[in-house]
Amino acid sequence: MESDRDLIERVNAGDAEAFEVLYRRHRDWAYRLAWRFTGHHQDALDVLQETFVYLLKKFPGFELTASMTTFLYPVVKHLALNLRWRQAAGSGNMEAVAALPDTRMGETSRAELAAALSALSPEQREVVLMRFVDGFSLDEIGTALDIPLGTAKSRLYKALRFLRNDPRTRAYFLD
Amino acid sequence: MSDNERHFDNDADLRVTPKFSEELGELFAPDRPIPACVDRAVAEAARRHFVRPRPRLWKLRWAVPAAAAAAILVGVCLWWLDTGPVPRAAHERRAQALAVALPEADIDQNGEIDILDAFTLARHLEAGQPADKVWDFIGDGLIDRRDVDTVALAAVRLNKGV
Repeated sequence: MESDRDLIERVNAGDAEAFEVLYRRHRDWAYRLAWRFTGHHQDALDVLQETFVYLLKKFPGFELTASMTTFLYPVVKHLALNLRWRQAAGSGNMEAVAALPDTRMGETSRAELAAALSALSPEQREVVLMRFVDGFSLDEIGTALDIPLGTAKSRLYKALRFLRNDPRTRAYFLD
Repeated sequence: MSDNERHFDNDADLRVTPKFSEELGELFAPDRPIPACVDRAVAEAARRHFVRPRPRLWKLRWAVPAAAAAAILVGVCLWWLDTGPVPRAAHERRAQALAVALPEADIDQNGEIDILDAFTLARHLEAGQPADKVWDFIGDGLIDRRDVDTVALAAVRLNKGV
């Protein structure tokens, strides 16, 4: 399987099919991330499409200096937040931008997990999700959020300490 | 355990079970799939983006079709001159050949090729009588007015000593 860097090299040479491969490889992850920020199917699709149009406009001449997901994370995030901001500004409810989107609350355990997460600060919640849902390393978290590595570590540590001490989420931690 | 998972190994309290990642992922999973139209839209955007613009040969853009039109016009003119009502070049050549006195041109068989042969052929055609294929002096597979003209021209040339 071609690496992202090899695909990018082909895209820089004008290969539209290589771009499509790149899109399909990261599409689902970008969509899930967009959904995580917007909480709305159509909004997430809009953000998904805008993300890859944004990427497309980087070619030719695009140079990948980190992983593809590290590059795309802030793109998706900002497009999604801009969308939510525009919608909130239109409705007058700016607090909705910072609120956790509605999550799937099927089982009790997931509901309790969601409740515990909502008690974290948005910054702490974000690094938890980047680490344990997106699989980012701490270095990648720092790069994607444009924060020092120490700050990323600190946020994650504090979030996990809180969750470890919360009875609703203690079961997720190893003794 | 990967490097990613070793970050808090020094603090045993912060090591999480795999279920933590699983349930977090389920918690934030979209409730609907991506429709194919989004994939097509992105693919189409990529194709448009990577279509290379043609070199700006604007000076030749109109010259090429103009030259083609001119060539066609010239060709049509040449074809018309050659195959029109009076194909002069071929007509002249055949008339000269007949002037050398092909026996077939003596249609009324009076021993001479003269204007009466042209009249005879003309009346023969007007009457709708079967034509002898040797009267196809033009050589186009038809026996018609043009063959009559050829005989007449030949008769004139003969009389004028051309």
